[in-house]
Amino acid sequence: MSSPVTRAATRGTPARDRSALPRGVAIALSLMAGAGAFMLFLQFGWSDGLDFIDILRAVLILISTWWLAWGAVQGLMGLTTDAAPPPVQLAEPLSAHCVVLVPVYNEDPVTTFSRIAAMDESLQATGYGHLFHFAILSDSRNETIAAKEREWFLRLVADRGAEGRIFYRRRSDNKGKKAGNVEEFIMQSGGAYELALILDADSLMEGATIVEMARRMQAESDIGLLQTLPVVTRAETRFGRAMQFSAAFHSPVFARGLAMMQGRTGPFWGHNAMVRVRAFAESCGLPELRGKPPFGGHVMSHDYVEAALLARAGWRVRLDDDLGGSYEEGPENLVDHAKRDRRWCQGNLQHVRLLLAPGLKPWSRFVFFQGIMAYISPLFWIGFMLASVAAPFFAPPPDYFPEPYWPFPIFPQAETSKAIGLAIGVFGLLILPKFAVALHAAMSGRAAGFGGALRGFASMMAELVFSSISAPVLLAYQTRSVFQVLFGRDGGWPTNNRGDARLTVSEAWAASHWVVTTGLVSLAVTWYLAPGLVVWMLPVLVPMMLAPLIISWSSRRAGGGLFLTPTEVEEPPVMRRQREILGDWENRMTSIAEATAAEPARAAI
Amino acid sequence: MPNVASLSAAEIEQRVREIGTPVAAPLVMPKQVLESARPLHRSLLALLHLVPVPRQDPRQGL
Repeated sequence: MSSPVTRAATRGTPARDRSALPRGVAIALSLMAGAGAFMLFLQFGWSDGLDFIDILRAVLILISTWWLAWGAVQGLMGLTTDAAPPPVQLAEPLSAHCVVLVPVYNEDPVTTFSRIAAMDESLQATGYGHLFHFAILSDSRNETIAAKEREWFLRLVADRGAEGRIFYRRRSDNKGKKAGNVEEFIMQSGGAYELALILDADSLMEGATIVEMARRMQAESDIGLLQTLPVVTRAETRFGRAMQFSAAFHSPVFARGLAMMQGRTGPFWGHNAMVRVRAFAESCGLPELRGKPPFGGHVMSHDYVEAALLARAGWRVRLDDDLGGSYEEGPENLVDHAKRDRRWCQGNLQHVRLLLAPGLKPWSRFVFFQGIMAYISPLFWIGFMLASVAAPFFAPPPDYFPEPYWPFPIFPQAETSKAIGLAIGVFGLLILPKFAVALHAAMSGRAAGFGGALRGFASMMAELVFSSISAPVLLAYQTRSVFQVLFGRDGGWPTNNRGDARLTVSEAWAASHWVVTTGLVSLAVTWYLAPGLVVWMLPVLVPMMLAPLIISWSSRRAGGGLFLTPTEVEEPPVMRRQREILGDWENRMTSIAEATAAEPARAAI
Repeated sequence: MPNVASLSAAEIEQRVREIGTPVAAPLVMPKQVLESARPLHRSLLALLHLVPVPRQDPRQGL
């Protein structure tokens, strides 16, 4: 094992860190919002005598509101500045050699390799293509898919004239999953390259963006990792398009807020990011954690850990949110989203073991904590709801004569207005940043990419309604994931579904009947124990009871003009070329299949 | 390059090995220390059942 801190000094000219103020403001404002909610709830509970359950509920609301406010502040902060290129520019010509790593795991090789062909073409057009190699790192365990990968690799190399530029290798075992796959390449071949662009099988990037990333890394020798903000594309279903719109509309603003706070310890999201190979090699060798999964074994959410390790070794990790031309695809239905979320949940909760890892920067620890909170925060809301249902049993009987020797009854002061105020405040934290982003988009002209201010606003409202309806179902899945991990169940490494996403009602029922049952039982219990709360619980319980219908409906192909995104208004060149190349290859496949089918017939004649 | 459609599976595999294997340029990637060695931290994680509890040697208890 190497020393936890390999180099204390920063490399090159350390850039001025301006993150302290935004971090301080964000933490202070979100804590103030949480404290405000706490005080308001205590006053509400005080009206009929403060008891243990009131204090418990106030603490739960403090944590939940702080977490909501943290997200909201990040979004609002992102509206205060614009993404801009870094001040340091490369003076000399680009000379760094870079390898583009494409890890694949039982993916469709035709689609994946068509992306590589398009990116290679785009890179060659920049004039710097000779500095870039591609390496397809297969971890596929399915022999049919692996055979297809080999066949299509040869076609790809032939099509692109890329012998000696595009490589393919398949591991005999997939130890360490994606992190192990990349690690193995670096240990075998990393010495040949200064930089490595790490992609996912569904990643697509413009050649100009890749070249610009390499230029920035060559210009600033202290950068260990440069992350772009990938834009979700090519969604077709209602669920997928709502998510795609939300990501395109809101994420750049939230990413701006994040970038303002990142300092030297920015994020790594596992793909569409460039690393300095030697920095990565010397800092990011991940050990297996003692014990069995889910908390032991391989580090699942390796990206957060790798970012923390680079920062620990003195390298700078930076999100450059001004860079465009970075794309990915997302899940097309709620069940696929929940499957991916299960994996992320396990990975993030595993970080609880790394919170106290030696030598980490405080912000890296906070990032781990945020990742854990992202998954356990629903538990605080659920705890609050359960405590509220149980509260009437703990409340003392009203005392109408609290003053001795006073003959007239004193009625408890009505504090309903405070409860309503609190609910409005919490709801405001959820929707205020979204309205602020819509207003900013309309005023700055960014809305043009979403079909104009009016259409953008309509899409934002539709997404708000859809996310309000689907949120309880997603939270149910998330809560189940957390409990599964806490009870030691390993979720494994399922393949991502990237095909037809439509689910019938019966398929949706099979995946969500437990959500319906939970919703029904919760409604019955609330009705029995605290009928006054039923109305407050309905926005959560009704979507749960309708989960199969919501899942099935949202998995259907979207129609209408809503959820338009900039990549649809004007298709980026690399996306257009990938679509054309894929179409061409699919036609070729059809011709080969027809010729093969005709061959025995001809022989028979 | 020969037409891929005319190659057998074994020929494809052979050809992929010939032209697909990445350049050999090894780098050392040392395993990092990720978990705190402080007894307090370790016992805290063990208390939360997040790490395997070390097996107690019966002789130590005597």
